[in-house]
Amino acid sequence: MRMTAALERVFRVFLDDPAAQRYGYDLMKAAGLPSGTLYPLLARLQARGLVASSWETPRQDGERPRRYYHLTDEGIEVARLELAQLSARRRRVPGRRVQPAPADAP
Amino acid sequence: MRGERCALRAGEYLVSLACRRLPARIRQERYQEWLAEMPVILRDRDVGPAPLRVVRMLAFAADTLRGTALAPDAYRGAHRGRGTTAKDLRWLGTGLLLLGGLLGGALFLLAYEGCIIYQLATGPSLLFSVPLVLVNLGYFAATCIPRWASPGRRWYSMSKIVAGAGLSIRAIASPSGWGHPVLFAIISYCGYAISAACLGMAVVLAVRYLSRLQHAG
Repeated sequence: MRMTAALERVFRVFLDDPAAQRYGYDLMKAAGLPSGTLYPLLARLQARGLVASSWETPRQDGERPRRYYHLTDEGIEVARLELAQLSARRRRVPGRRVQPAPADAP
Repeated sequence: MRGERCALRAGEYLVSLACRRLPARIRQERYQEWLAEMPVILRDRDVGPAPLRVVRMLAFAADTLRGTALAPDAYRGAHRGRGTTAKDLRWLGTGLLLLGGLLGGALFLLAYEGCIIYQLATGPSLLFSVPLVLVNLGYFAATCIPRWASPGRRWYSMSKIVAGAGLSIRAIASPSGWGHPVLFAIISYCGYAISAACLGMAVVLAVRYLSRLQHAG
């Protein structure tokens, strides 16, 4: 899977707290990605077994249950490895601009 | 929130359009997922006031449409089926319409700026300069809303107000022979120069944003 800026952001958000369950909209906000970019990316990660999803239990107040996502064990490993490789590549090319760390996003 | 149901219905419609492009086996699942996010966005106070939350929710729904249109293969093997050509043509038409709209907007902006330059060069007309001031006063007032506040927009509207005011005063002063027309001309030139700089900056930022978006996709 090609490491894009969007994928990097998503990995960083997940790795902030690998055990956390995250909803699509929360991921959108944290990674600063629009839905049309995030959901296809999550679907690809899920197809590769790096992300797993599950449904919230139906609520009492009649609200629709939401779907939440989390990194699988393999996903955590791959994400850490990919980000480490990316950092190493950036260190080797000092002139290249480094994207702002989206992990700082709320 | 007033109009919430209406906005949700519009969002639901957009999401249903997006889901039509997905394989049948995952369509319902995605529809439920995206539908469940919409009320959450509408109640997300981090986004800002209610109208902005509605816009955000509709943007969310509309962007799912973009996602399923541009990356259908991501949703586990969406395949090309019957009627794809017609759908593609429809998308092509929509794209061309959007492009036409953008080009139209750019041409309008060029014509608008051209009119101002013409007025600056040949001599002002109150029929043009007064609406210019009023429109930009409105724009400036809009930039006082915290969500739309940005130094660039403020500078742009203020400089246009200055340019328009300079033109208006010049138009009034020239026939009646008071004041020095060169002074008002310089004021309007300076105002316009600042607004042109702001516009140039906005174009540069837009190009950078688009290239970053392309890179992110």
